[in-house]
Amino acid sequence: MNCEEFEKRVLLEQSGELDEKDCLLLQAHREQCSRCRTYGEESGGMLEMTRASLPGEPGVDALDRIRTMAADRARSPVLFFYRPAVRALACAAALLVVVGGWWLIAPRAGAARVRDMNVIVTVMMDEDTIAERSDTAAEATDLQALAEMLLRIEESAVEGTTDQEELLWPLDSRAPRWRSSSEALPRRYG
Amino acid sequence: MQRYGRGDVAALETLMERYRRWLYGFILQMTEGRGDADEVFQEVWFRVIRKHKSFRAGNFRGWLVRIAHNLIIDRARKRKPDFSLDETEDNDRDAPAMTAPDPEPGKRLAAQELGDRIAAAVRALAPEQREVFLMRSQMDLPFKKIAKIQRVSINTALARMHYAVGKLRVLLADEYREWQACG
Repeated sequence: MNCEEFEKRVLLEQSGELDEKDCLLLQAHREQCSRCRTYGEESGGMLEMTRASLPGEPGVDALDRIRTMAADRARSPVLFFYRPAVRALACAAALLVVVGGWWLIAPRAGAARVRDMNVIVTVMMDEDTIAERSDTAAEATDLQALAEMLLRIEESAVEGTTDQEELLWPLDSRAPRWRSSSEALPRRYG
Repeated sequence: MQRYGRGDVAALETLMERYRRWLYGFILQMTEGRGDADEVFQEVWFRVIRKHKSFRAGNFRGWLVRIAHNLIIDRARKRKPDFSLDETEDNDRDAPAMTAPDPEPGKRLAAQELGDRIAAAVRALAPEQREVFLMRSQMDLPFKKIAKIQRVSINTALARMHYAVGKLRVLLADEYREWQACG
């Protein structure tokens, strides 16, 4: 055994992992080589010195938190085990309430818009208003068609229909000559 | 652990009492200071509590160190994504070291100063060598277990320890004589 091998094997001897045969070889080399004998003593001494000098104490708060958790776990293992699942369930329930509430409210908002539009459309379709606002009979027809379309759009929004072409067809097919001017719409209503 | 699994909280307290100083000493030297060390120490025991059923009867100390090792690595990687224990940069930071209480203040101060110097020398080791040395000195783990935790061969673990001891013999030559003189 040479000195380099001794220096590594003596570490295994110190950890108790060297077999008996190698221990005897180690001992034989140790008796012959003072340098390796010193190395063996000092390497073991370094371990002892750091073991005695380094250990620290954790903070009191950390120890208290560990003890609290240990006690909780011992007291109610089932709840402790399922706590993450309980939290997840609570979050899912809250989300359901929020989404469900929005879903319930949204149609009412749509229904309110339909009622408002009904007022506007009613005024727009009023013959006197149409006659007042339209220069020609064609314009009057277009105004009525526009009012009907608007009403249809609002109703469809509530029902969930998304076919824009279906909504716009009546207007497109008659190729209205309606001017896109605010003059075509009633100034006041209600 | 089996007794704790049956609801005996005192059993866990016994384990904590037995291992806390050595485990904390190991963690303190491998982290950024007492705050970090407290958090890692706490998390180690939290995991022991949560996963006590997965512990197979055997080396509880090795299991503790493995948990601590993984937490230390994870923590270091959060700060530095390419962190590896195989880095060889030296670390000049001093770690505050605590020593066993001593009724004589003069001796306590001398012991604390000695501890500080030893901690500084250990901190100067490369991370992977420091970890091997601390697993041996603080937790008295065999090299076979150390190699498994670090996921290297026994020869690699031995080489790291050999290097660490060689460096510390040079850095702590005076301290070693002083420690021997104190008995």
